[in-house]
Amino acid sequence: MKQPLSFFTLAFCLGIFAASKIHVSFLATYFLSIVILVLASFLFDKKPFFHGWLFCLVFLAGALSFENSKILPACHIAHQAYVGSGGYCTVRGIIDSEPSVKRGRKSYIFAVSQIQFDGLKSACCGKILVFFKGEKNLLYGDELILNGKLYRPFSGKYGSQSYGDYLRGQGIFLLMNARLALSTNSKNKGFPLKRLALWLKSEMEKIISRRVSGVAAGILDAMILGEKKNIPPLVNNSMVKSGTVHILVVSGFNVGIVAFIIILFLRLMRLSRRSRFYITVPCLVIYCLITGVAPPVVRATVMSIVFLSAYMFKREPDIYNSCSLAALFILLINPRQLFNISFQLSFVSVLSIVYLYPRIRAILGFDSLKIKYLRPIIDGCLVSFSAWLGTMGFIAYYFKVFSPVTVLANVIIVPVATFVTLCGFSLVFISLVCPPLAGLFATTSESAVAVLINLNSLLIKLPGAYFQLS
Amino acid sequence: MFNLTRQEKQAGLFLVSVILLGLGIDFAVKANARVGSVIKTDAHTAKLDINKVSLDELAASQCLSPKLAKSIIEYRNNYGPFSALQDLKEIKGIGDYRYEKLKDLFSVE
Repeated sequence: MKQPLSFFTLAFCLGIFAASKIHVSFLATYFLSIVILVLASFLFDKKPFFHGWLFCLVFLAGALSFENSKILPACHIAHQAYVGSGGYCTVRGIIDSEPSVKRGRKSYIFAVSQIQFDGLKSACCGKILVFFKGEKNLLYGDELILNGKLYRPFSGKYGSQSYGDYLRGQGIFLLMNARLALSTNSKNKGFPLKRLALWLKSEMEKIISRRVSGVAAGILDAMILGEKKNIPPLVNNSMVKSGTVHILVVSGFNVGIVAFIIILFLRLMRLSRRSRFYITVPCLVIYCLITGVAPPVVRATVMSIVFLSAYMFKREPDIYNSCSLAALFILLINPRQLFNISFQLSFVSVLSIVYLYPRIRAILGFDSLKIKYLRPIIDGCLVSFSAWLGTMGFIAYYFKVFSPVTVLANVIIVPVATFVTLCGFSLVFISLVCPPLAGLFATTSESAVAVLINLNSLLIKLPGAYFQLS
Repeated sequence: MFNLTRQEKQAGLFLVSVILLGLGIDFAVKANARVGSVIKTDAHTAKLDINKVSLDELAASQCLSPKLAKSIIEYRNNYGPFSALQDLKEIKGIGDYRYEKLKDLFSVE
């Protein structure tokens, strides 16, 4: 079979989806899957039977993995809270994410290792989302003792799902308003590679905010580092309406640019194919960590690594297989990601481009087009149209917007966004290597961002550009 | 449609077996996890000893304003260590309401 991984991924996804709709007992399903595994082993050489059993087996593995993600150990904080005094308790643990500041409040994910309430202290596990008002300088990996009130997330909507569902998808079941945070003064316990990535991110943010003004810096932060907190809501909304909001998040497009820059740089240094591979892969992993390990970036990183491996071993890469591998990788770690909007849009857009673009091109007869300079424009339009066709339904369902202007907007905006991203990366690089030149890059980046915003606002003013569905 | 080669079938079967084994072990670990020993303790890990805490620590804890933190330290320097938490009420700016909020965060040892 040309794409065996697609077969496994499809079955696995169906299993997760089925388990989310029908409640199944973990033990019964596990027993059934063991029986099928034994049967499949016996029927290894009987082709149609074996394939059917294998499909069932992967389907059940998907269902089991989803069920397993719902089971929390007895020591989990979600089981231990509320036993105490009205939610007030003391917890000890480490900061598991980069602290972010919003409206004067710091928030971060906190991995709990100990809980104390009503004079009872016990070991515990799990993650909570902590809010803390104050100036205390906190870093990923810091060990803290927090005192505050634990509560469940409110049921407001976050996109198409409730805020609680959104947090549960990330393994967070409780929130805490901390009123006291004490540092244990112990050594930073964070994962060293993630610490390095977050340090690089903060340094890059500092460079951008020092060189570029407010709005432009916010947009560059989003496009290069995946940090969306500084994007003005007006700009974000206008991008949603024109269907070009994907350029404001780090996606495969950005990972591709990073890989391209690194490989180009290493080639200029005349390094061997093998050395280029061993340097590029860790750089891509660090970039994935810098941008917050969002599903589109993980997908693009895994796919890039597969492509680079194929290049190194001189094998022909298959886009469906690499895409399936990326999906399996994400879903095996967290099966709930199947219901994440970002995961769905990322994979649907890639698959629709890969599947639809060559077919539409062939149907419309553009393969035989003789005018060379028209080809890139037509190809850009067709790629944008294929992605729009694939994601249209999802966008209408989740964002309640139908944007016919998307195809035209992407054809115009994406080249400008590519230029902005390249300028942003160059700005950071030049600021480190040759600071006197950085001013020139900063001016260019700022102007390019201004062009991008103005073009977008022009496009959404076109008649029939977008329709609000609710 | 699903025409897997012999090697693909072997790899698939192996991978599914490993995933199932992993899921089984993970489930068993979770199902058998018990709450570790519960210790009854009077010592609160998240309480500041009002007689030992420094101005920087008080300010960093964010539980009171810098001005009030300074007043507490000044009071301790002028009148000696606190004998009871209620002594906090002697400080200007700490009334009954604020005392109720602060008493859970401080201890006197």
